[in-house]
Amino acid sequence: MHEYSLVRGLLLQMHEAAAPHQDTIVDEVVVAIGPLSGVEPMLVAIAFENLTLGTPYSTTRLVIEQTPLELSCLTCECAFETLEVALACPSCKSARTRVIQGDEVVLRQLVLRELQPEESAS
Amino acid sequence: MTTRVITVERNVLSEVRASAEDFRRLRTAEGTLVVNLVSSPGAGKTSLLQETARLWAGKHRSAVLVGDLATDRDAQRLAPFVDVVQMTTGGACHLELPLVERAFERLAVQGLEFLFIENVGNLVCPAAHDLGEHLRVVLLSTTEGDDKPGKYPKMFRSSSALVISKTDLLAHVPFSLKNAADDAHLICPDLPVLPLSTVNGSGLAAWCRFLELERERRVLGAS
Repeated sequence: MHEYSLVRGLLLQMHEAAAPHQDTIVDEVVVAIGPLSGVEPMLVAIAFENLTLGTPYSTTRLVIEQTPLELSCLTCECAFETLEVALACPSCKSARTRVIQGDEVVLRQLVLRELQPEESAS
Repeated sequence: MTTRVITVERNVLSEVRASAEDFRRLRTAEGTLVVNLVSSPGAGKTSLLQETARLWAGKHRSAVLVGDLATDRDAQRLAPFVDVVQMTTGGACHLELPLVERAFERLAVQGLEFLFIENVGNLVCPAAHDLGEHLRVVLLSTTEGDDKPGKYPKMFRSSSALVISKTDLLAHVPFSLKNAADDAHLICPDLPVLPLSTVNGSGLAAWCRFLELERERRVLGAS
């Protein structure tokens, strides 16, 4: 997966979400990354730092939550979680599993701060 | 200083996914099965498409969108047999939907039964990019080792079929069809495995039949 194009998409979504809130600055953005998303958190952080240089988001703190891979076993019906890419059921070893969650990158929330009079929203 | 927490809960990839769904839906309505062929460089994608087009001449209307970083060598190889448009990514290591959509517009053919997308030779990055295909087919050649599926879980998990190519070389390489199939099934149970050779023609009829059945199931049955 390509962290730079992902972060570009993320910045667009941040902009859309923050737009209705006039005179605020984005202090923090929380992003959840699943193990099967194909995205490497460290590279997302680097891309974010590089792509926000000279933009209103250059002081925005990026918080990455590494969410677990949630799978449901279709053979023994147990549900399990793992932080790694492991697709076989730990209980019955079957590979007949269904991904419930863990292959997405989700923009969870923004923390906005009201601009002080001396700050500008450029 | 007042802070405000805005809950968003938006999938960052959602727009891309929606567009891929649109492309897929349009092709279904037109009766076209879209097949995305992925593999490492040199596994035999172009050769397979060449042979498929040759076998299907006069029988099925198909076209190919072929992606490479540079050159139109693959398009030149395919052009005598099938309508083809070359996409050059200029350095990007995988295809993305906008490039495919533009190439499809340049194709401008009616009544297509099969649209093949030959992806850039790369077993990693294309796994994360939905090109609007109905079928993702991963090729693994007998010279690449039978332990590869487990090393590329996202690719094999997201594929609808595994073609094992270059079976004419089995006598000369330490590759076990059973090991490769078993390894793939640990990642993706029930993944159809289609061994073939474009050199001696083995398995090609089964491959063609597989595609015809998939079109019946996914496109003709659906519309």
